[in-house]
Amino acid sequence: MKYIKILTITSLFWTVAVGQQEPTAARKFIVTLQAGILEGQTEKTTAQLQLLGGIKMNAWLLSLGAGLDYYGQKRSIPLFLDVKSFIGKRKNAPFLYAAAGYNVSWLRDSEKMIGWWAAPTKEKGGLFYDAGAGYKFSLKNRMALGFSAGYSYKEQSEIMTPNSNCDFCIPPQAPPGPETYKYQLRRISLKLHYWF
Amino acid sequence: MRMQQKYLFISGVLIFISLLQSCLKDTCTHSYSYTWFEPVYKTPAQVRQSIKSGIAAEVKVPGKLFIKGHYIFLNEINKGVHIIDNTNPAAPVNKGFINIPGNIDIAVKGNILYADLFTDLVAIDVTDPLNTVTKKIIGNVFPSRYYGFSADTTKIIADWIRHDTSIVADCNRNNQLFFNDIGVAVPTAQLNNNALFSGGSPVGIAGSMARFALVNDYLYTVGNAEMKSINISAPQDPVVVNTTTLSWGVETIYPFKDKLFIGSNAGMFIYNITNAASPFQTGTFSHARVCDPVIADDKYAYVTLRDGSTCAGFLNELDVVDINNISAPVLLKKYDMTNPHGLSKNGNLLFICDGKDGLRILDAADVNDIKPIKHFTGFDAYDVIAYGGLATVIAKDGLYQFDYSNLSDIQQISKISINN
Repeated sequence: MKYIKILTITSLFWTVAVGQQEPTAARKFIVTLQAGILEGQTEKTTAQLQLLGGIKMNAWLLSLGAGLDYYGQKRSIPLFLDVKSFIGKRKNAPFLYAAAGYNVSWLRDSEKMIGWWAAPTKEKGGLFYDAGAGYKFSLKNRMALGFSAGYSYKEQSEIMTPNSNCDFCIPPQAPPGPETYKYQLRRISLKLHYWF
Repeated sequence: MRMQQKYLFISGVLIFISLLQSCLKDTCTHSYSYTWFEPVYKTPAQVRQSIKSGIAAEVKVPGKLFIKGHYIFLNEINKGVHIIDNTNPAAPVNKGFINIPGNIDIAVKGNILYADLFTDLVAIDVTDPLNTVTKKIIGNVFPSRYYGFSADTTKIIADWIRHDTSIVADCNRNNQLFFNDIGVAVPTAQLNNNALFSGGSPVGIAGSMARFALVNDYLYTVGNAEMKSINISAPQDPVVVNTTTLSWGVETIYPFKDKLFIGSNAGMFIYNITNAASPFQTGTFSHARVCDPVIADDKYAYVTLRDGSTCAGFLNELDVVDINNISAPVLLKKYDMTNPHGLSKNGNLLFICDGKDGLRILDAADVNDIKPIKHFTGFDAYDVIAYGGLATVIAKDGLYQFDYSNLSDIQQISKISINN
């Protein structure tokens, strides 16, 4: 888990550095910063932050991204492949996007389930996807701003294994198996985009 | 794109988003496996007739260990006692099995094996372990041996039929299971008036119902809230002479010179047995809880604390306590361990069952500087008896024996595997 986080942060910094080194005229490498909110069945509006690095080919932008997702009081790091399709040839244009990947669970201590009767909780990630549409406004120097709205899904699990210290159980000893709590969270994703 | 088309596009997105409201459902599913047991009833007469030794049985769920002469008596929880001929420790032989339904604890004095049989105490002559003779049965010695549901009190639960099942439910539902009077698990919503036992989520019912300690001519047994003093000066004719009321939640008993350490949920209590028939409380020993195994020599008590036990501790360590003044014990030193369980001491040698980290053999000549001698790994050890150069260890996968007669070359000499 620690190494996934280190790798993610390192990749993101590398992405920004490389993106800024590209010559302006022939620039195809695009860095995208996406920030926004997630709204769903839970009461709180929660934040999301994503950083992507990708390649633009004509009207398509193919990127790899990583994010921070605080929705559902279950913090996580989605790692995903993102595809954007810009409609039309104008500088300001609508776009469609779709992303899918793996949601790495990264719970804060306050978010974890804790039971005195169990060993420390283990976390497990799951599927992540996000799809929607938005609009892009071009700026100078090939930078652009945009907004989007879409539907996002993430899943992650917590696994608790009860302590098995039933030396003289009545009824006979039967070591308990692990308990899995699987969260499937569905929300609306509203984002601002900054391409550079 | 024209302005109109732009606004149409944006409106379309917003309408689409609003339609998604019905898809915004966060779900949490709770899945686990659960084992429940259906009781098999027999009459007391049937059960008592079945107390006899027979051919050897596989060791599946080992419990208490008792060594007498060249025999190892190994409890099979709720079933009886294995008799292992240990004449040659390098090649122990599983000789026979004494069928004792509901047996958890054992003690042996001379040729008499004392065992609990649910609520009863039975004295069995094991002079010939393969042809045992039941000498006496005392009823209702352990009245708190109950199962929490309205079992048929005219019968004894002689066996259990295991049922395994998996459950997937919503996290917000009450997933507790209750057992009715035939031991069948039913969901909370279908609870009937006879259900008295809570199974909860898959956590077994912890706590032993009997604990034995042999001191000279007395056998002391503890139940849930009482201690029985049983005179065994005539070994074949045990007599209950006294019942001492204790706090609730008593689970362990450990003899030390003229004292008994009684472990309960409320702490460890010290009872004086100068008058063997009538123990009386003299103090408390706060350095150990009911889940913490403790042994003692003349000067020090050695206590293992571990996490993951039903006492919900967070430490994994060996504590050495100065007990020269038993009324005011003093913690001397702590030693970090992995997950220590049972322990034993022979002379200056300290044997610690360190859970998944196997068996540690330590030099405790200087309690302020206990040094490691040897460490055996590869098994999950939880109890040990060390005596006369031979350490017998109960682990999850078997009964191990180690020869420590030569401290510079301690060796594992045998293993009886457990098939569970």
